[in-house]
Parts: sequence; C-alpha cells; structure tokens
Amino acid sequence: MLTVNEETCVGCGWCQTFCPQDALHAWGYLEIDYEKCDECLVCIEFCPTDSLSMTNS
Amino acid sequence: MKKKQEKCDVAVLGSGIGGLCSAALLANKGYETIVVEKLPIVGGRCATLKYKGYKIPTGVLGVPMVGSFKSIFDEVGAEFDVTPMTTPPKYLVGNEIIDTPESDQPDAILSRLCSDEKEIAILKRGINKARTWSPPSNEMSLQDFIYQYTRNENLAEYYNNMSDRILSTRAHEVSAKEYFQSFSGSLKDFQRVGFAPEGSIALMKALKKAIEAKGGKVITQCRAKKILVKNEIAEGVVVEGKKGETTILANNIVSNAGPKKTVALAGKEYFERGYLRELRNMVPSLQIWVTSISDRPLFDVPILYTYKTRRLVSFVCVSHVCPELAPKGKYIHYSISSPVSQIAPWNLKNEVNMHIQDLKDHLPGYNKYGEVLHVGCYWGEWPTLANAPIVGYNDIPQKTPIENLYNVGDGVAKKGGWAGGSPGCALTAKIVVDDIENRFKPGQSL
Repeated sequence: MLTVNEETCVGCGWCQTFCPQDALHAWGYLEIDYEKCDECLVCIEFCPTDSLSMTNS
Repeated sequence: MKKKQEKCDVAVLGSGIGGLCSAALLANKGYETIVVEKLPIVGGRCATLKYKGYKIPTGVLGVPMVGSFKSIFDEVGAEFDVTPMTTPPKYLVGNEIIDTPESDQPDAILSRLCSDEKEIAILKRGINKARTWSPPSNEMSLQDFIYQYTRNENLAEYYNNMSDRILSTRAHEVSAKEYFQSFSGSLKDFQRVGFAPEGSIALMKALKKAIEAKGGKVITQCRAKKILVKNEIAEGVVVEGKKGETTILANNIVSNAGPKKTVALAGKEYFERGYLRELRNMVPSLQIWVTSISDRPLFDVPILYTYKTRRLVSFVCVSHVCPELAPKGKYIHYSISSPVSQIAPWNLKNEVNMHIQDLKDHLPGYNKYGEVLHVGCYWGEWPTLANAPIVGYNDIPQKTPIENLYNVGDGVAKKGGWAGGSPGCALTAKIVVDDIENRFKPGQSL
C-alpha cells in the first residue's frame, strides 16, 4: 500500500503529475485514491523529499 | 564482489541550477566532471512538470536574460531558449487595476495607496538614501525601516508585496539591508526577463547537453550515499544508481543538495560547532505556486502584481508570452503566495485555501472561467529559499569546513543582494568554479 510520510511531505505535488492513474491529489497535503492506485511506484521515484513508500499493511 | 570505482576531477551532487552551472563551467574548462542526481529528471526546483498537456513550473518562472545565469550559457555554449517579455506588468490594488506607463508605476501605486503626498515624499527620500548612499543594518527589518518615515499601513503594504515577491519574506521579517542591496544585485539581472517556451527544464537540459559535449557525465536516478573524508579533506563520494553502488574518487566535491544534507552525507563529526549552529539558524521559506487554466486569458498582460489581498502577490498569465506552455486554445496562469510569517507556524491547507480564495475574489473572471490545475508548495526540505534573508540571518559560505568540499545553490547564496533565485544560484557556481580553478588544474592528482 502506498504511504505518505506526513512529517516530510511538503505538498509540492510532483507525484500528482507523474501518476499514470491520476490517483494522487496535492492541496498542501497529499490525498491518495486507493481505488485508482495500482502500485506502479512511479511516484516514489519522482518524490523530491523521499516521502512516499510502499508498506505491507 | 569488488566495488565499482570511478575517478574524476570534480563530483557534483545534485542537478539544480547551482549544480549544473558548476558542472557546465568546469567541464568547459577541461575538468573531468560527474554529476549525480537522485531523481529521474534534472533541474531540481528549475524543472517543469508536464500534466494534462500543460507545463507547470517548479520554482523558476521568469528567467533573467542578462547577468550571472545567462552569462554561463554564453560561456559554455548552451542553448538559451527564452522568449522575452515585452509588455510591462500591471498592478491590482484590492479590486482596482492600475494601468499607467511603466516608469510611473511605483509612484502611481504609492499615490493610490496613500493620499498624503508629503508622507510619500518623506518615505521616498529615506529609501533613496538607503539605496544610493548607505543601506540599513542587517539587524533591521524592512518594516522597521519603513516605520521610521511613515506609519501608513497601506504604504507598508507596498513593501510587503515587493519583499514577498523578491525574497519570499514579508517586510516585518526581511532584512532591510538585503532588500535594498538586491536592487543592485539579483534584481539587476531581471531587468530583462522572459519565459522558456518548453519550460525552465529545457534550460537545465541544455546545460546537461553542454556538460556531455565536453565529456562530462550527468547520471540521473543516482543517489549520493556518503561523502568520503580523509584527514579532513574530501576525497570522493559513494553513490547508488540503477547498477548498484559506485565510489567516485574526486579532487573536489560540489554539493547542490543543500548545506544541511551535505553535513549529513559527510558526517557531523567533521564540522565545527559554530558552523553547525549557523546551519541550524537557517530558515527555509515557503511559497505556494498555483497553476490555473482556462479557455481564455484571465488577464490582458503577462504579469499582474496584487496588493491588499490575503496572500496573493503575483499572477502570471504566461500564455501571452509562451502559448507553447498550454495545449492549443487553452491558457495557463501561475500565481504565487507566501505566508504572513516564515518563522511562526502556519497551516498549509489554510494557506492554500487563502491563495485560491484570493484568486476568486480579486481576479475578474476567475470564478467563471478559471480552474485550478495544480497546487505546489515549496518549503522545509524542498524549500523556496533554503536560507531566507530574515533579519540577522547568516551568510553561509560556499566553502565548507572540509577542504575540497563546496556547497552551491541558494542555501549558500551570497549575502549583499544575491539571496537566491536563478541569479543567486548561478553566482554560487561561478564563485566555486573560480576557487577550484585557482587551486587545481584539470587532471591534477591529489
């Protein structure tokens, strides 16, 4: 499951523009639409602050 | 398994303006140069995001067409694809648009903000003295400086907008000295300004091409893991890329990762306490960049400066200069805001909402035709300015306490008018490259 570290995410919204599924939405904070996210990991590669990761839970 | 090893004259960590400008200058002078960038794209906060057919800036919008940044492109022979902006800005005071010849604009706005011409004249005399004779102390805020001449809140608002736009810091927090010195520093470079039709990232790609043409390397998705230090001298960097870990041995390391990250990469134990204290005192600034789209231009000139709003300081209808940044028949607009204080805590969601409410309340036609495409916030570890010029702020030198290890970029921008932005970052690259050139010849062994 894609997880955002709210301590380090600044809300730059880069991930939103690279997500092929349009599953991310930044508005000062990041919203993840788990219905759309297919765990392709692209957002993790492009996150400038290393705030996104995959977790098992 | 034997670890991979490479050698070069200079290893550059990070591909922002400071990093790529340094690498391009060094490669052009014959230094074997390797740039590593952790992200899949170059540019750092001078990148461009493609989204739904539009191009979104990430920190560099207006590109200075003269001065330190541009001169590096000339020197290394990199393409500088920038369309100049020829139409002067307009000003929005509350909901009233002030449309006067450019040369009259500051006066026209001040008179609109304050009816007492005598008060304006006193203030202008004080400001003129600060700009042409002697700047105020670095310990004084711009607001305190202004309050010596006037208590008029509307006049103070003019300087709030100016300092917010130039230095992403409001008048009550910004160093008055830095504010006035920026007129003879980085702002001079913005006398001629333009926009990159393919986005600012095209300029960074052009620098990458210039580096590669001189035999340098720019490796993306390659993360610096450790700066190697021996006898208090930097001697290399361990990086991790798609093909695993590599040790790059280099005579000099230039870090564009930010001064704090540089310390973390090398190890705190190599840095003096005084230096670490100065880094702790750095205040990174927040700016919010909202991209709006529409089927028609929301304003008739490229730049609108906005006064007496909650947060909004400028609104850029960039399609007037570069229609290439939006799909055919569509228009793209960028607007910028900062919080009232860069030091006091703010609620980011509220800051974004106030920015958007300003667009709706102050921009004619926004409610009917405008639509938010993207919201980008830059602060903390991915800031607008890594070292905002807040009263009493420290000038962090480009040279670190570790020999042969330099920082470039806005965290070490030169005090005295170059607090950041593309001119400030480019200048740090020039300073560092000059120093390396004085100390090392290309190919010289340690």
